[in-house]
Amino acid sequence: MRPESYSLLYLIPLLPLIGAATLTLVGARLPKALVVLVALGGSLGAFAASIASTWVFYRLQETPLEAVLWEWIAVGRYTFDFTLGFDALTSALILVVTGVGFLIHVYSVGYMKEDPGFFRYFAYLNFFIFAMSILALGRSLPVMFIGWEGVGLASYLLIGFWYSDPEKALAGKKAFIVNRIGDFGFLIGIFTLVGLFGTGDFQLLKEAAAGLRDLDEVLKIGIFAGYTPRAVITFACLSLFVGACGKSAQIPLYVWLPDAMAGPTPVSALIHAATMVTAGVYMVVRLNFFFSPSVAPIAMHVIAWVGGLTAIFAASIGLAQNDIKKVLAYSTVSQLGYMFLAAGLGAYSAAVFHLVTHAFFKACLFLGSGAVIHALHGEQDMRRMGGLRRPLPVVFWTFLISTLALAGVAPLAGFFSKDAILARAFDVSRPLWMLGFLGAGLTALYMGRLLGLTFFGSARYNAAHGADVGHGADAAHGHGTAKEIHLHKPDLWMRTPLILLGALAAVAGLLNLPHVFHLEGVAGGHALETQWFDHYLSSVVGAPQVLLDAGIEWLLMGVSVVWAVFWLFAGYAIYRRGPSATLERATRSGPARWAHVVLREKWFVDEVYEYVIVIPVRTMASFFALFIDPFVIDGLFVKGSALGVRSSGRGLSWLQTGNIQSYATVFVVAVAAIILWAV
Amino acid sequence: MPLSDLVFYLFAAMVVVGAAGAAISQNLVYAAFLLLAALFGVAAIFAWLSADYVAITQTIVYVGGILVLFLFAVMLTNRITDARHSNPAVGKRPAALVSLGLFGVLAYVSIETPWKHFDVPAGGETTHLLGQALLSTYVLPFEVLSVLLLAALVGAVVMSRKETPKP
Amino acid sequence: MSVNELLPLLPAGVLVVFGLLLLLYEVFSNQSEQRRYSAHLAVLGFAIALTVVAFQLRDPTASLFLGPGGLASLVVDAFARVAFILLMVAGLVACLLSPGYAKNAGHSLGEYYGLLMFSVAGMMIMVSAADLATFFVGLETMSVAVYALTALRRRDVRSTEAALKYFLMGAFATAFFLFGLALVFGTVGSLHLTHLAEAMSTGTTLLREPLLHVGLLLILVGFAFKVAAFPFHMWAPDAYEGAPTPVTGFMAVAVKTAAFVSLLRLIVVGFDGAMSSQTGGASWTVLLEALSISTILVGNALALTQRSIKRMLAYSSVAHSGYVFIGLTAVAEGEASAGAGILFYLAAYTAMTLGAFGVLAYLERREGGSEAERFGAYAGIGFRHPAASALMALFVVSLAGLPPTGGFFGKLFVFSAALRAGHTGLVLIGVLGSVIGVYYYLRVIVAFYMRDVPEPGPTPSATPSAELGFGLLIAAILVVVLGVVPGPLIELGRAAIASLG
Repeated sequence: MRPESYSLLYLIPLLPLIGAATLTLVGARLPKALVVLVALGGSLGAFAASIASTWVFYRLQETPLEAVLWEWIAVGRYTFDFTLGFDALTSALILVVTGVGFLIHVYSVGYMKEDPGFFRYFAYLNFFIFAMSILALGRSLPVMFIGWEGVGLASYLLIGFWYSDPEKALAGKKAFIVNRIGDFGFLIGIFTLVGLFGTGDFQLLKEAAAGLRDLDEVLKIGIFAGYTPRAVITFACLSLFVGACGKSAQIPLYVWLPDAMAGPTPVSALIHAATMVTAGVYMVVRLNFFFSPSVAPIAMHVIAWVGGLTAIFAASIGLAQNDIKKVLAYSTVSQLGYMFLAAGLGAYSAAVFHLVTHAFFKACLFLGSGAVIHALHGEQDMRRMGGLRRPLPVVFWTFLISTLALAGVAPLAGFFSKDAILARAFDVSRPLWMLGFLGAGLTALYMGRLLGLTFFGSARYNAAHGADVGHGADAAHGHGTAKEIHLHKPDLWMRTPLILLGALAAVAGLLNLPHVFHLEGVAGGHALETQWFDHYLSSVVGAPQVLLDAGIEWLLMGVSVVWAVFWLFAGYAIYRRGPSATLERATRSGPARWAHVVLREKWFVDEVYEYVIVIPVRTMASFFALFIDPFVIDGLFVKGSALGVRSSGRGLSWLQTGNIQSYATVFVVAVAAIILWAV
Repeated sequence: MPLSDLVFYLFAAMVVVGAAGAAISQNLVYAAFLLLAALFGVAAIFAWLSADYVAITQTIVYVGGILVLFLFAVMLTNRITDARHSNPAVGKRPAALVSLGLFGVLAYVSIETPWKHFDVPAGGETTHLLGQALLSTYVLPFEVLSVLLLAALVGAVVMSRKETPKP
Repeated sequence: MSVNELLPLLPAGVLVVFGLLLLLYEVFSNQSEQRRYSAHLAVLGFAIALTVVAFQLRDPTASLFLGPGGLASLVVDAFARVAFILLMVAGLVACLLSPGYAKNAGHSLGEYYGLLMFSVAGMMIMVSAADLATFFVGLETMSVAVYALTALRRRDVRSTEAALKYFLMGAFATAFFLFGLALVFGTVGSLHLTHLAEAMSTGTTLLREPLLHVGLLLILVGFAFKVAAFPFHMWAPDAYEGAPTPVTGFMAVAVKTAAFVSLLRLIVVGFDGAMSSQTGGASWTVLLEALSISTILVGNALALTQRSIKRMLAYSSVAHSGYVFIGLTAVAEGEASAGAGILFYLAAYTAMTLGAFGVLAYLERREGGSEAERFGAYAGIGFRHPAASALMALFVVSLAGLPPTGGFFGKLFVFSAALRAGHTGLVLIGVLGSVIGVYYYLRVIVAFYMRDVPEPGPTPSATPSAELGFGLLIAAILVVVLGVVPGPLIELGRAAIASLG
């Protein structure tokens, strides 16, 4: 389908960019109310523009929209236009980004009220919305890469927002470095595809992919002569997936995300849960004509397995964390694993659907945890919470809904999206389904534990507050020393987004009911509309398939609901009285102790990286720094060549006497020489 | 050699000798007068080429104006007539070498050139034609020249006027 | 000729009129309080003229002042209009950078801005001239005004010396240029570019008509002097160092832009593609190649050894001329896209160089004294003047040619056009020069941010002027916009080159 030109698309990134620029330049001098106005205006404007674009898209019978902003680079035979595109997939992502983004802006007004870096915070946040919309709207790989790097920058700035705390600055640095590894892969992938097809435009790439006649015929010309297109595309897909692993925190590059919790909690909600980290999933689905079982089966296997393993692995770590945000962070890693599992199995719309629902309930969970932390003046350790159900009812109820959604309890949003993934896995690969199923149980368990520790039982925060623990707390709120602390209840700014997101977490599942719900006569004599979202996305990812037979599907759903409720209750029951003494004793010896230590220490992955990568690299670096660099590089190459250039510079400067007669002499000699040479 | 050629070479020699003398002479006053000879020779060659207007302008502006100004400047400036300091030439030999070299190159080029021969215009008054051209075809350069002169004037004024103390 | 026909020249006219107004304003306003509006008046003049050009940008080519044979002595085409814009933006930003500085140095402001506007008017004649006589008049208008501008800091010995050197060498170069004109006129019988093109396209060679070619060589030498190409660059560092810093910036960008743009016209129109077809002694492209290689190497090598930032920038601007010559070489080979690349490069160069000199002017004022021009004197500046230093970092990164700045795309367009024309070796030299450039440009950042502050620095001596801040902001925005959205300008450049025919 030829895209329709719709130039107003540029408003979506432009409005938050204006907000960010205004706040950066003059934010320090603006009164707080004006900062709020500019920041909310930027994000709300983007949301409104997204809705308008979606409406236009819908009115045009779902013809993709495009806006060619300018011809960007033209080098040799390659031309890259700065084009924005808008199709069903874009609309799904951009509505989430701008909608959830706006709600989190609202929430932040309350949350960051007292922070001295108020305007700076909103400048970054607006910049993030800008970069993320470029990522989502970019119609070609290079444009997407700009957004990709932009969100990385925003994330880095916001993780290290409280940069005066070295630990937080370090977390920012870690995210930065790990993402560089991913970006390297991403760039290699881009170069490979551009090198093979001569374009980075998704539209043209899709046509080119469709036009490839024989994937296994060895190429005779071009840079990749000697390889088959399939091999090249598989290589490109794997490279791109390395990038996706970095951005979306998959094994083995997930390690930055838990540390990224050092940023302000609303940032964790927006960037490190709802939107940015899903960029990898989006990219894979966007390029589904390459990431497809029929084109690059090996790459797809890798993606599905990495996703599945990440899902269960991260969930297991989440079991033993005491920092409320860390639990949620590992949960995010695990849920992103589900999305990749789905994408790797070719269930693209299931992946995107889970992306959307996850954005709602995980944002709500993070904002809820932020409200809890805010209320407790920066306390993040769940062992020192408890009993918050009564003082914070709004937070509790929204948190509960989102927890049930995440655990996959029907009929909340997460149930439908996770079930779609598991159904597909069950059909394609039983081992992968097993991973997902076990992961779902672990998810329910750690969420039950979180719920029990935080909201039930007795209030433990008064006694323990001000003690030595409390790592990585939101520093802006500081630590009080008083025994009896005054709970800092969320204001209206914070409550409204919680309620809206909670509601979305509850009902978003209706967007994509499984086909088995296609029952006659339920809704006023008509059949329920099922798989609406699958159909909506079909222009991008192909028509939805119905694979399982209804009986098995019902059975699977039933089993997974029972499974989730069971583990949820188990977690709640064990922990609702706080960290239990029995459990403490049980984990003090034997294999249970080991299991506990391994999980608490996150399978020692950071340590393994430290010994396998960081220390050898550092040793090598010091070797280079001590021997190679000063003597060979510095001495021979740098100083040597610098000496060469410098001495030639000096040699030339004797002519530069400052004496005008000598200048004139050089002038005349040069003229004479040139003429003589020419004649 | 026809007489007209003889006249040309005579004036050409006057230009060359005058210019060389102006460059070499150690005394500024001598140099100025030698320059006068060179400029006058150029005016004569213009006249010889039937370019009457240019010849007259050359005489009036350069000989009558600029050179006289030079001489005034030389004479009104203290001690400039003191020969030892007046016009020290540094590196005479390299300078001669370089100049002769360039001359050699250009001379070689002009010898190699197959010259085009134009008939010498029959003479007659050119002032009228020049005036016509300046105010029609070349009116733009002519006008731009006024801006050029103004800029030069302003520059000269700025550089030479007394500095007023800042209020 | 009706007045309407003169409309294409209106921008230049506006500049001259405002220049005169400024002179009168200076005379009739005795209170220094009033004089501070000189800068505003000048900026207003540039803004009006720019608006006029903007409205005329899509107008058809206008041929003015037809001479014998119906040949125009002035052609205002899209090419000339793009050059107008570049030059006037340079003039406008230079005006904005000047006020505080000029006031401090005790200049007479009316003359200062007046001369600046006259020189830009001269440049505009240069870039639209279709015959070399008209061109020469424009060239001299520009030159004389700039000589005077250089000399404005009269009480400063270095400024006077710089002006004298610049003036003497300039006169010297002008003599060669005129001699070249005479030779060309002698062989072609006209100074019009069209006639020159006819003469060149008859298959003339150096061997058959040495005089014509020597004449053209001498004209080229005149250009090489104005753009400070090796070995005619020697005046540049002295003049750049001695001149008032905003004037240095103006000299480094506007004079160079005017010279390069008119050289581009000369090569495309006057040589009519005959540049590469020379047989005999050596071809023109080889000459241009040699000029660019030597200019790049010498400029960079000398910039590397400088201890003063201002001198370093002066030498590096020599190197930048070398990069533009790479583009000219490609143009001479008939690679039209190189022309658009050159226009883009000049635009980026204008913004970043003016910006860098502007920051220097700001720091000189704030820190006091010319001592501050040494690298060492700038230790810790990054923390005392964060905004100015951040801008300096931006300009320096752009000068070094790193993305995402205009400087990067400038180099990219010029180099890629040269590659298309087959000048791989030349591009390699250019890249090598850029690498050396990165080293000495980054030294600025190192000096600003990474050196320990020796002692608590002197307290700022004067408040920054709002105009200066505004000027720097314009330059910074241009640098960034050209680095992010290079498309429109390169399109404009292509249209401009196409209008040359």
